[in-house]
Amino acid sequence: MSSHNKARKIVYMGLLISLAMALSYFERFIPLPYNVPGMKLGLANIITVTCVVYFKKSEVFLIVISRILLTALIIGSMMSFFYSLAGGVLSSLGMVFVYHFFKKYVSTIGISVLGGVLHNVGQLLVLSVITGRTTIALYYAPILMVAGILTGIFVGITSMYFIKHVKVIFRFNS
Amino acid sequence: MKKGDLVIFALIIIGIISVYTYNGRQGEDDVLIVEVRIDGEVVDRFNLEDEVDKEYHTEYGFNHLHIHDGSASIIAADCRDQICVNTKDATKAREALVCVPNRFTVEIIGEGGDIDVISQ
Repeated sequence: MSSHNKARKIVYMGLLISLAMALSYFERFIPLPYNVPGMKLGLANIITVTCVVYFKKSEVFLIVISRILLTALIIGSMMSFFYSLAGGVLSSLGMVFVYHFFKKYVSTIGISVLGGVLHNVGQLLVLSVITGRTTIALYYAPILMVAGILTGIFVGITSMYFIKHVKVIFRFNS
Repeated sequence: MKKGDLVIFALIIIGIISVYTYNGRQGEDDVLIVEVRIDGEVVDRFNLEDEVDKEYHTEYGFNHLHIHDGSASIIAADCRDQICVNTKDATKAREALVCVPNRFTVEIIGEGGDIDVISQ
């Protein structure tokens, strides 16, 4: 890869990180019908799904972890950092795995639904560690997983359009 | 939508159903206990039928627990998201109120004659 291409790639990674941060900030202002700890729209997952398609595996994790760290520093707290980190790492692991091994059989909808549900699973693991009670995490698990499926479908459709339209920009000769 | 998407959906739905049935597996319980935990440590246990109005000031923050007429709720807290205040009242076994930023959890636990039979 030429140094010109490398610089281009770093710039786009930075742009995607800031986009994801802006999305995870603004989704807080959209009210949700139920109040369950950890339930959210997960709009930042649009960016993660796009990264899974256009970037290398290691770069996806770099983008996801930088986004979570920066969001926690600016608008989050220590607690929300651990929650997002567990959810983010688990969901990107799942999405990268499914995309690279079953690319032919899955669309972005399947990938983002899996990411959304795994994000909630990661958060529930942290919840059960912090509260020391698995029963609370298990009580919230079904409703959070249903929410993960619904928001995952929405995020998947949005990423499908996003990926289609940024195809022109993300042509790396790597 | 491709075939693999349906496989992912099916796996997740199986997961949801199995967790849901696991949660509902225990029978109805006779006595409902409200267990208050801070940072994983039990600090208080009340009967759900009691009248309780207690404020918890800890190093993590402040929560105001209110129990009356067999329903428990957090009526005030200094956390930023206010999810614990907006959660619907807990009235049944296994329902919970959680304040993540303040590490404050209220859980309803059923204690009855039949719970020991199940765990044996």
